[in-house]
Amino acid sequence: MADVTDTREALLAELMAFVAAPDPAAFDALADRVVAYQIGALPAYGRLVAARGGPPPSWRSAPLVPTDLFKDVDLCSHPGEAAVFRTSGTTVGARGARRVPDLGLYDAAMAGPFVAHVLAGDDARRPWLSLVPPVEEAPDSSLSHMVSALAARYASDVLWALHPERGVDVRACETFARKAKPKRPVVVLTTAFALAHLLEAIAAPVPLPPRSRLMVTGGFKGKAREVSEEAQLAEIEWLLGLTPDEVVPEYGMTELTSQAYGRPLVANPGLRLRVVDPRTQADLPPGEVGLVACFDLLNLDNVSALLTGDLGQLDQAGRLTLLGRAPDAVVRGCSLTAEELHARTAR
Amino acid sequence: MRLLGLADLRRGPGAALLEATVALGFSEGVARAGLEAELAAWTAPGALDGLRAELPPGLPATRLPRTMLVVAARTLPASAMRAALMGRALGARVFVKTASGQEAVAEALAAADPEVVPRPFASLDLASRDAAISESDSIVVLGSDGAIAAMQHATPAGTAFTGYGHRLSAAWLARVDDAALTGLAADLCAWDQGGCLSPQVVWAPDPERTAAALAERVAELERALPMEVPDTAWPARHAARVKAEMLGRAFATETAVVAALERPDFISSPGYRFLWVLPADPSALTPVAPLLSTLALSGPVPPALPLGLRLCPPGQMQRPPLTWPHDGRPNLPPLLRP
Repeated sequence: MADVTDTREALLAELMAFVAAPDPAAFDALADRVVAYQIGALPAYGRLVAARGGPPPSWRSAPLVPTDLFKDVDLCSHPGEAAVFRTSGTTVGARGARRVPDLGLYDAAMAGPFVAHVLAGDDARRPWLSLVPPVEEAPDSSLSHMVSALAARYASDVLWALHPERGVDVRACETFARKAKPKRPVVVLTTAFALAHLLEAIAAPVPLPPRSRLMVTGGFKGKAREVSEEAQLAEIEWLLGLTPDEVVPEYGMTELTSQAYGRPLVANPGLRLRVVDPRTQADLPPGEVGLVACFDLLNLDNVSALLTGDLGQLDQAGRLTLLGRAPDAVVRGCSLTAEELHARTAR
Repeated sequence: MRLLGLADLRRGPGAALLEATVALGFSEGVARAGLEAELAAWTAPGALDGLRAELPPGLPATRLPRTMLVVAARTLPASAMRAALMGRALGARVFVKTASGQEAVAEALAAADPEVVPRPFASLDLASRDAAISESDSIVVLGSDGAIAAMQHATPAGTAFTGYGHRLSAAWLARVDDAALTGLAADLCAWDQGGCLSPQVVWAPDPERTAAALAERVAELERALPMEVPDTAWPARHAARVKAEMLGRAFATETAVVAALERPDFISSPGYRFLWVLPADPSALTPVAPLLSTLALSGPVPPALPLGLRLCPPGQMQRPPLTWPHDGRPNLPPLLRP
């Protein structure tokens, strides 16, 4: 036990140093040690590795854990609980839960890439408009935690304009835009779904000050309406006056500590994005479409090698273009599906 | 009945039905075995007499439906065929509307019997749907709760309506022997586990040992009953397998995964021959009992099973007799005109 604790402390310190001064050359060796630690510290992952023939030769071949399994298994190797982040829940209704024993790594890692990508390197405090609820209203949302933590560091003031029951406060958003000072850019943080509602409800264009920035995250999974990214960018330009370059997609998830930003997505230094064959989980070459897999070096207390339910495509530079959720299998018979079972037992 | 001309799957409409079934994604071995099992139910000695015995004596001819609409929204070809044959057993002309992409199944039935008429319409084409309903005096819908509710809502009073919803099935092996394992392996392979009579879960005294033995039996069977897992099914299959490897044991064959867990609670299978083996705890049956269609049994019967649940030996799950009370109801009386 002492060995595991010592190893964790040592790795945490090294990972904090990596976050402070990312060294791509150090990634592979650190990742191999993180996998070895997780095999020993997380019994469920250790059993999976044993079932697949024992410890992998490198982090690249570590068995991938589907993010859906956070619904069923406590994939945390440490007894602490600084936060429990839950997924929003998709078609089967159950919500995944990720227990995070220590938020230090999480909070340290999010700042630099956010400033670089979303704030374009300018970390001066500015007015923020958030269509993500603050952490006090959504303590189990990793996105709310992230936005609140970042706001505390980089916002001069924040208009929280998403109410848990009433939804987006459109009038407040319009007022925020009209009152913004022309020479003082603002920052907008939103989910794609909330943004779609805002754009639909805005009565007339309310251009934001020049050099304002908008971070948009998430898709439309489980939602009744969908909007293509192209259509949304055109609407943003027309109604908010932001060019596509000023609109920065963010790719993150409850199960990850790191994020990726941009169009196409560029992973933070602690994250490697892969695209794999759904059948074999072998890496696919750039240009081929497959399931998005991640290796998050900073997921020390959980699992680093994760398989998402997203479809994507890498380019030659390793940047990722998301192509939506992987479709569900066609059901060929009359057997009750997990979704139907959930719907019936929930009544 | 002329539809029983389908029994020869080598030529004529029988061969067309086999081809239509293979086109849905089943291997020829699986399609053939499934269709033969269904046709065997109709040709079993005394089967039709037993079915007719469900009807009350002295039934006036005016109660018999002249036209019946079968909507097979999402079901196996064998189920669509059984529903159509039930209508023909009453002498009704039967309109068959299959799910999109499955029209060839209805056409094969029609080729065997001109009193079976394919009646395709898009689910959003309400005018065509309502026209089909207005021409029928008995409606049978096989599909989801939503599909059944929508059709029932559109069916006028005075028209018989019967809905068969999606259900699930399981096995309870208090005694694990060769017969139980071999039978259950066949049940898993039948229709690639896609039917509501296919087992999703097995409760057994020693899950890990049972799962290992069951996987061996499946491996023997699957050579004659191959299956291709579609690309879209892999993410859910992979997730289920990883879960099993983290929390229990998974035994994979060329086409199947048999996975043992330590907790007895029911868990949905991702399908395509993925079977959970769980410890036999009667309390685990309670939450899913109302949704169970069939429970395969080997050894003593678990306590407090719901009324109307079909019990059968392993190996018979996908081979229900004609007189099986489908969803707890007799087969022919609900089809009669009110």
